Amino acid sequence: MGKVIVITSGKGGVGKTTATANLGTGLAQAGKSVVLMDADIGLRNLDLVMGLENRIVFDLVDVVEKKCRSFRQALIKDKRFENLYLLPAAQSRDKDAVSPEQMRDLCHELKEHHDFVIIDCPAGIENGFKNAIAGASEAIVVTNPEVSAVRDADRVIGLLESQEGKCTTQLILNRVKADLVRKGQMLSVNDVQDILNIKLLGIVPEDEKILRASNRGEPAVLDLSSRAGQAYRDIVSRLVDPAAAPAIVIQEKISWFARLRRFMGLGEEVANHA
Amino acid sequence: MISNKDHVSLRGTRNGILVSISENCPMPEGLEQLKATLHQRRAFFAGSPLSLDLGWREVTEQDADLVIVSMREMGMRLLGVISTSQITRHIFEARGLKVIIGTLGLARHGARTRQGKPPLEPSAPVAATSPAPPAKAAPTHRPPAGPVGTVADEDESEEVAPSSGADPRSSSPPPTAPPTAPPSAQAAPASRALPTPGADTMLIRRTLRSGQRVQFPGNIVIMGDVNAGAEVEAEGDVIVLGNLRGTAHAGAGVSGKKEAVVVALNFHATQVRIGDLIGFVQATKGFHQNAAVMARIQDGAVATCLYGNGS
Repeated sequence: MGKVIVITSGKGGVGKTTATANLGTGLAQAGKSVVLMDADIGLRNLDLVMGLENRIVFDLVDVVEKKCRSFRQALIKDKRFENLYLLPAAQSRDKDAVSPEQMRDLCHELKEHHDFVIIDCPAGIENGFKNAIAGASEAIVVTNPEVSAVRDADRVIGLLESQEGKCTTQLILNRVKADLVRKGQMLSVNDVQDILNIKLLGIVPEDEKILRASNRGEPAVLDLSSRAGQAYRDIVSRLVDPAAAPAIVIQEKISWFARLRRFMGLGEEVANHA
Repeated sequence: MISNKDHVSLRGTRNGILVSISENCPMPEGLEQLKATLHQRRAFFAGSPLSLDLGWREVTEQDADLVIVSMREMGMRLLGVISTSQITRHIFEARGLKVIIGTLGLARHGARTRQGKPPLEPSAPVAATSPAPPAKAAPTHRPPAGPVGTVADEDESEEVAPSSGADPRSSSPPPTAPPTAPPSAQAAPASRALPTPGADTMLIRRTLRSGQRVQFPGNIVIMGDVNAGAEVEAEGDVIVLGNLRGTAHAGAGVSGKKEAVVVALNFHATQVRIGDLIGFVQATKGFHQNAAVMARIQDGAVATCLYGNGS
């Protein structure tokens, strides 16, 4: 039996789809059998970010309405990993096309055959959100260190906590700029946790390579030179084995001076700040 | 919420503890973790009623037996089992346990509230003119709190002697809270003269998140934060033992009291309402830090001041 995790945020544009793509790819890279589900019906993006948009034949709504024989027909195998699948959303329908019960049944079916089912939740708190969280047993809330995002994340966490049976929420703090945090111009992890107060899963720094990754359809977690990719890799190892996880740090650019010192063997400059 | 390696989590609710065991965790392991957690916080949890949420898990007969035996070993009273799986529900019903599909069922359960709450600290002496800290709570069937010094009811809590310095005593828990009332009305010890005789007080022991709203025809005390976007509306006082970032409205409604106050340990609210007046609070750095602040109507406008300064 696998785990169904929903990646949600409340606010749009904070990095849910990016997180879904990266975490899914990372988990597949770690050998797990993963299905990524795009629950953003009508505004699908997950297929673009995964680079699989030209392979869509059947989608989530087709599965639910039984227009295809089973969900297996709709699952698209990833280009790079044979244990990674995508179940795309429909683009020409909207969020009333499925019901929470249908989503719950579908998730139940999917998790019997895979280790992880990761659902990309749409922004908002209406039907789209309710559909996406219906089948999930865990939630990862993604937010930016910015007041509106944190406010919306708080709302979403409140909704998740008052749901029956759904009690695991974890936080990913995305698009963090360590230098701004240090100058006091950006909310720090403590400021965010002061309000949200849920378990922190990881911190992903702002990284230009994410944009390039989306455009190319190659998630940054595969790019060894990307700092955001490194953060996602750490998060993946925390999901796979919470006990053996690396400590949560903000990945930063290492200055040339620090690099020089390291090269000269002048001791480990710890360029990490929580 | 207390979490133990993602498998077992505990949450305090108005009807005792809600324990959720993750569906992927084998039952013996989950019960072991639960045992460990409860043992760690023995003093806090002892004798509490407990509800077990198993989600969509389908239990076996052995699992169910193990659950019942473990509960007995831990000394916890198992109120019932919540499950969305028919198989699980049948198995537990066969063992004489109450089974519910959703947590809503527990609201009508009528379980008693937790005992053994520590008494609230006596507050600083306040002048006769300003409102005193929250009045003693009373569920609707109890007689209203009489003048200070008398015993309202033999079974329930005693009033504290009128002289200052007397320790408030923790009261015995009230019987079933009426199902229609918003989250639990629990007894809070009385300490000084009552500003609003007969007023009920609602005690909320958790943080209010954005978008959550509480309304009560009486006073409201919150042991937790009120996050931005949350709303608290009381006909009496609003006391926040934490950060107040959301909107608090004291003295609300037709029967709202103009003498009502809003008190918070950390007052970060940008807007506070008392009666039918709205006050916009300027966030001045350094003024309201590390000190409890009280907002009330003074000279026809909402004003804030440091709480407990003989104000």
